[in-house]
Amino acid sequence: MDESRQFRVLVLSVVKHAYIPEAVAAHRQFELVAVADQSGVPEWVHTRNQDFAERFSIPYLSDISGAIKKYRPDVAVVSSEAERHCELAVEAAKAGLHIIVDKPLSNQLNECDRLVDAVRVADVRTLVWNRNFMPALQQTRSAVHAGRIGKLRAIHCDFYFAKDAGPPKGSRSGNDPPINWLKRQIDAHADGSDGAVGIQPMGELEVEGIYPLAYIHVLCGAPIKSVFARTASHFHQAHVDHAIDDLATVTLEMEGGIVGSLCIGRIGAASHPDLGAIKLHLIGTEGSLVVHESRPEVASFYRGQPASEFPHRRVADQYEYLLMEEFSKAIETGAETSLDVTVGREICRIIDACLRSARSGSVIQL
Amino acid sequence: MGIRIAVQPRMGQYGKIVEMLRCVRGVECIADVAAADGLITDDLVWLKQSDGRDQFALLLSPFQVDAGCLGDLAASEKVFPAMQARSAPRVRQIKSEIDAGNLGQPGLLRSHDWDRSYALDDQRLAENLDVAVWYFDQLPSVIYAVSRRNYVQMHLGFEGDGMAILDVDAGDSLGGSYQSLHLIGSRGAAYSDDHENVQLAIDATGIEAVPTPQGDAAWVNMLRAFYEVIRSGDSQQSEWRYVMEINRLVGAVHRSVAQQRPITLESGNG
Repeated sequence: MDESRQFRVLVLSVVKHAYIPEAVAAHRQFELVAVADQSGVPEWVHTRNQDFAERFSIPYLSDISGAIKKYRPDVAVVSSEAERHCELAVEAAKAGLHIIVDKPLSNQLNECDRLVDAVRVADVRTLVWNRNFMPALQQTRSAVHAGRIGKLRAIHCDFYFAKDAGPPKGSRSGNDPPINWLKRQIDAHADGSDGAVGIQPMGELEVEGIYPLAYIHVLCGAPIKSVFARTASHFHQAHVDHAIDDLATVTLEMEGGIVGSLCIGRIGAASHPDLGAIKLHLIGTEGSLVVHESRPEVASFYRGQPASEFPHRRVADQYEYLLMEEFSKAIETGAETSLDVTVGREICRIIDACLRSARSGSVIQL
Repeated sequence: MGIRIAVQPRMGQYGKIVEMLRCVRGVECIADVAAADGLITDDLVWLKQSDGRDQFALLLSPFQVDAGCLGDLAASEKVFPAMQARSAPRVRQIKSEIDAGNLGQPGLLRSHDWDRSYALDDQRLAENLDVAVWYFDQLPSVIYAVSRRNYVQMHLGFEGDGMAILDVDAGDSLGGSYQSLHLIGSRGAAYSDDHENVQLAIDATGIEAVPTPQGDAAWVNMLRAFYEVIRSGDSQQSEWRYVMEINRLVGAVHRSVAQQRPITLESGNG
């Protein structure tokens, strides 16, 4: 009989990635007990929270402190708009809840700092949702840590999501108003391309940069000393209208003389048959590694296959389960997760430096 | 009678070039330099001294030509710089996709050029830069480069949206050559990666990834281009001015490494 500790989970807003609380619920040690959110949020937020609650047959309360008092959760899962991540997580920390928070941690460094402080005071465990437990990443991490390629000299990551983001660049005529960011993100929820949902427009570096930078963090471990970045609004009118990036390149220099780079973009659905090209290149003193993040996968092609369907499907992928395993162990042992809010905050700081570098054209020292 | 081409005697890769010339329809490879319509050499001094100095010539490793000689070559109408990197089939295929408009406006070029057997010198840096400039059809406006022992990473920015990251590794740990290149455009993307072009060899000791040979198609492409130059009688003056521009970019790479800052390039002057 499994006598491992059970954790009661409060879903603290679920307007963005329902797959996160779903992954939490799929783990044997976690049980969703309620959904809660702030009372003053817009109607579309209430609707999404209510829909999720009904799907899991749990109550939805537009009263966070009331929900905490009534359902006595151990854990909060936050998947709100990015600008509310820290605010909600701080409230959870103050109530003594362990926290799982969607990415990006925030688009404001001072908000990250507020959360890091609250977590430290409350002495709770945290997990910023990430992809570090993808099978290929685990294999790479094992190889690097086993010394297979010797001492790391360089690490490069390509992280392209082959997704569209509304009308293409150049499609707006002079008399048309700029695309409403929030409305477009709300509309994009159906196809899951709403990772930047919120009032504040965010570019690809801010929205997805945490994934490749987390890879570099777990594989390399060396602090990043400087960044030089280029950004562009190359594909999508929404990004042009709000002067944010959908394509970026970053040169990284790390302690120990390690060189790195990052290529990232929301490059359009036509640019790759699947989710996108996500690759790692590592150079060591004794060898090198070239890694497809998507492997292992199975290819299927058939008559009438929808254009939106990925012909290559990832298989044997337990990253969500493994993330939850790590989180449950962190709660039980008091250890930190491999991507807690402190690391998440550091990644936000790096991304902030990248954006400043792109604006100024200069190298930013960290 | 075909176009007669002579290869500089005793030059490096003489045998391979002679063999590859046989693959170019319309070319007759001859030994008599004076009787040739075109010459192939990697030695500008030999070329100047050769009996056939009024003939067309293909000069290998053009980015290693002394700066003082480039002015003379720019005035020459018959000496043709060999663009080795852009002759590679994978490089040409991506260029053809760009030219066909399939990829839209080029946005991001990523290249990994890992090969210990090929010196990490200015020629190699220039060849990588040449491909980027060829694809974006403009010189970069900014270069930031970092360097380590046997390793250089070049980060380019172009006017408008374009950007590129090119890394070149000649480290001791490389037991073979690895090339990867992709270009992300506004309408599509093209990916060329040796990672995709390997076969598996399996035996009792394990599994080994074995690159599928790509032959010497790059040489054939380059020699065919030279044949076309001779056949058409086209002037190549602008090509040497282009070589000078690429060399200026190489200079900017070195300055960026030395000064640890991005180098802004104005009007292609570096």
